[in-house]
Parts: sequence; structure tokens; C-alpha cells
Amino acid sequence: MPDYDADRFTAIYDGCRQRVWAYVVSRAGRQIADEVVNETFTVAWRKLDDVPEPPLPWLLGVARNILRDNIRAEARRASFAAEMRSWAEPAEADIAEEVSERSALLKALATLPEDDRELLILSAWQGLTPAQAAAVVGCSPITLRVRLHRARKRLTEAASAYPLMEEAAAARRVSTRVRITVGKEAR
Amino acid sequence: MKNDILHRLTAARPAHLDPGRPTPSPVREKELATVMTRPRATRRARATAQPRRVSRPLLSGLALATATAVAAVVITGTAPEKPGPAHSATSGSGSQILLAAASHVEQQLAGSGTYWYVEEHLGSLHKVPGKNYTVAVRTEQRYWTAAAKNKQWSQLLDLGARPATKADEAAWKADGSPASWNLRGETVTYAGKGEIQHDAPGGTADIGTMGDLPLRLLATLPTDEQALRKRLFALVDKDYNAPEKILDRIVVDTAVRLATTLPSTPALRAAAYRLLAAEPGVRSLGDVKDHTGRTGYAVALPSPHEPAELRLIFDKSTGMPLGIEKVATRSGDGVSKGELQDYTTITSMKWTEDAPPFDTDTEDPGPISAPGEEPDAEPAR
Repeated sequence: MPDYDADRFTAIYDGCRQRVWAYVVSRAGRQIADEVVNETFTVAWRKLDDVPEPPLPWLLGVARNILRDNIRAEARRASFAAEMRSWAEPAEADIAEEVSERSALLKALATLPEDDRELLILSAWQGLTPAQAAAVVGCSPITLRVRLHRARKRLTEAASAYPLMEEAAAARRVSTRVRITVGKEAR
Repeated sequence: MKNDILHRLTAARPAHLDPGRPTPSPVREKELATVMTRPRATRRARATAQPRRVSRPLLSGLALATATAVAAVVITGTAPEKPGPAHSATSGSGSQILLAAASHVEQQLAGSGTYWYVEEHLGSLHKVPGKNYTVAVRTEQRYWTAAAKNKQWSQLLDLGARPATKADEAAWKADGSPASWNLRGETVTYAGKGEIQHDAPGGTADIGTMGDLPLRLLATLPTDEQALRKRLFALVDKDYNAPEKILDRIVVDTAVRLATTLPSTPALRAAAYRLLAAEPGVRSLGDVKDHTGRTGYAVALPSPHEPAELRLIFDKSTGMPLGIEKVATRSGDGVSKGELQDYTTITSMKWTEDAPPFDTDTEDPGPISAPGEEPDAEPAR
């Protein structure tokens, strides 16, 4: 194989691997992330000539396809539930006030429909522009802006409602919502 | 905009999800080594990053939470016999049965007309929560395809739910014969709502033109099964970036549609049967009865998308498809192994000059809320 291809692929891998991993973990948890990341870069290697610059939106789109087509809803649900529990653990450096703000936001995020959650993650955690996020999820940038606007509004509502809810009720709502949104996407 | 919700969310990102972190060195070495020893695509393809379009409209009555009822349907039917093909003695393996069906179906006359009309009865089986019986949520779908123009019209009718089998019917009667059921937050009724939606091409609710296989390509597909498989793979590969095993599954899915409800010529339909005959795990189920009581013969093949088996039923006198059933092959996600999950019975399929009886869409009911989701807070004016 020509070295040029190996070099380009390695550069793409080094530039994007951890971003793809973070995207998959934030949608479906660590338990299945390595498998999905591995398959994503296998596709990128096989179709290296098709990979555009910048490669990240393309790679996230591939990872998204794999999550949808190749991971059983049941496995994804279990893996994501474990991931969400780990989000509840405070980071060492956090002070108490930040912990509660963080925790409320993350819990609110987990209650949103999966489609909303994905857009928010692509924007806030991956730092994608609306046009890039639109390329990942396969819609027009205009549609994406509308959907992101709604997702932000729903997150704001969920975050403000969250501290008022009892912990037990909250946990129940989280599990119900996760079941429904995951089930909705199952094929 | 420090207080913007997106900025707050960015600040709340768990540390391990920081995309700027380096990949741990051992992981990097191992992953690069594994991936880069895999085969490359040989051709230099045009860069495409298009998402795969939705291949079928939503078929389940359950999925259509908001819809406009315009007609009531008079219900006279009774619960069907125990669904699913009954096993019986048969000669030949599943592959041999499919190859024989291919030889049979390619002798059919190629019809012609302005519209390819397909009418299907669909049933989706659901256990009633807290009860000991299962109901079939039934819909009828009609679609008209103008293949030359790559356009499609469709109409969906809610035919109401019924106990799935005789045993389910007895349990339903013992339960006081309720006329509606709440299934996972959505209510289905015995009576059904009649027509709930129709779509004309180009409208707001348009479903597109049959997904990943543009209809204009049908006439160009090879009728040799190996060439067909190769061509379908190339088409899918161009349009969808995914591992080869997923592409292979989409090829099988497309072949099932070429074999069943797409306006394939007899030769193309036969090629699709032969492609499926070469799939691993194809087996014969012998003579069966479909959900309208027609006798046919069936083969089963692994579902390309889930732990399930697809049962294709064929007409004995023509080799044409009568329908498809899906049976779970693993317990989980609310189903048990061996259970019928849904069925599609093709009740009419023909070329016709009769235009669809509508040329507008059902009024857009607005965004459909997921069960339990808060309604959109925007004022509805």
C-alpha cells in the first residue's frame, strides 16, 4: 500500500479518534464504544478516497450509522444506563455548587428524547457548527437550527424542573424516557 | 452569553468525554494495526456522505399517534387462525424451493401500466400489558408507484386491533371483550379509525421514492443473481458509509423488496429469488396458510436487521409473493423466541391505469410527540 494513504489515515485517526469515541460514549456508553470506534475507522480505511476534509462530520456520520444498524437496542440501553450512572459521580475538582449545577444539567439531558440529546451533544460537547451537525445527522442546516432551538428549549425546561423533583420520581422518569427513546430508534 | 444553556452544557461535560484528550497509546497502536491490515476499497469512488433515506413508511398503526380519521370501517372479520406457517412435509431445501420458485415466476407475463398498485394488510402483534393475550394491530396500506416518473402515492388505513389467535380471542372474551387497549402509552381500538393518512408525491408528508433504490434504476438492474448482488452492493456502498456486513444486510433487504412488492420484471424478480437462495440459513417451511387463508409455500431466512427470521410466502400457481412474516429468534426487547412479531399480506399487486383517488396530502397534523413527551411549549396559533 502506498505510504501516502497510511500517513493520511494515521493523521485522520490521530485528529479524530477520541472525538468519535466521545460521541459514541455520550450516546451509547463505554461498553460498546470501542467496538463502534473500531468499525468506524475500518470503514474510513476501506473508503479512504471518500473521506472528505475535514473528516470529523463524515466519521461521526459513519459511527451514527453503525450505532443505528449494528448495535442491538437492548445492548445500547444497558450500556447507556451504565454511562449515565457514571455521569452522576462528581469530578474531583468540582466545588459543591458546580456539582449540583452539573448534575442537574446532565440528569436533564438524560431525560430528553434521544434525537434532542444527540443534537445538543454534537453542538455543546463536540463543538460542531450547525452545518457540520446537519451533515452528521443527515438533514439541512436550516432544519438543524430549528431542531437545535427546540432541543435547547426542552433542555432549559428540563433543567429548571429537575431540582424540584423527588429523586425517586426522577429516576423513574429517566428510565422510562430512555426506554422509549431507545425503542423508537430501534429498527 | 455565559448563561446560555449550550455553554452551561459544555461546562458540564464529563471529563472523560473531552474530545481533545489524546487516545491512550496502547489503544492507538492496537487499533491502527488492526484497522490498517484490513482490505481497502479498490475503486476510487466519488466522495459521498449522504445519509441513507428512510426505506419504508411507518407501517405500524401504533406509530401513528396523531392522524385524521375520515372514515369508519365496518368490521366483520373474526380473529384469524393461529398465525404463522404450519410445518408440513416438503421436498427440497429452502434454497431449492426458492430456485424452483424463481423458474416459476420468470414465466409470468411482464405486465404494463401507468401505475404499479400494491395493497397490503399489515399486522403488528403486541402483548396487552397486564393481560394474558396478544392483539394484532392491523393496518392496510395502498400505494401507487409511477415508476417512469419516480413518484409514489400512498394511503394508510387503521383496520383496528384483533386478538391474534383463537386462544387469544378466548382470553380476550374472558377479559370482558374490551373494545380498546392501551399498549405502551398508545390506545388502539377494535373499530379502528379508517383512513388515517394519505400522501401524494411532493407534499409535506411525502415519504420519498422507495428509499435507497431509486426506481429509475430498476430497469437497469442485471437479471443474473451474482451480477445483481454486485450491483446492489455497489449502489448501497456509494450511498451509505458503513461496515461491509451492514451493506450486505441492506443488499438482502433490497433483494427482499425486489422479490416482493417492487415493480420488478419477472426476470428481475427471479434474480432476486436466486440471490436470496444463496443466503446462508435459508430453509423450507413447506405448505402454509397466509392471514387471508390463501395456501402457499414458504421459506425462512434470517432477518437482515434484527434477531428474527423472515418467512416469505409464495403462491403455488404462479410463484409470486403472497406476503412476509417476521418471527423472533431470540427473547428480549419485549418479545419471546419463536413469536410472530408482524406480518404483511399482499392482497393486491398489479399494473393499472387507475390513478390514485387523491392528489393532495392529508393535512399535516404537526410534530408527533413521543409518548410521555411534553407538548411543544410554543403557542399554537
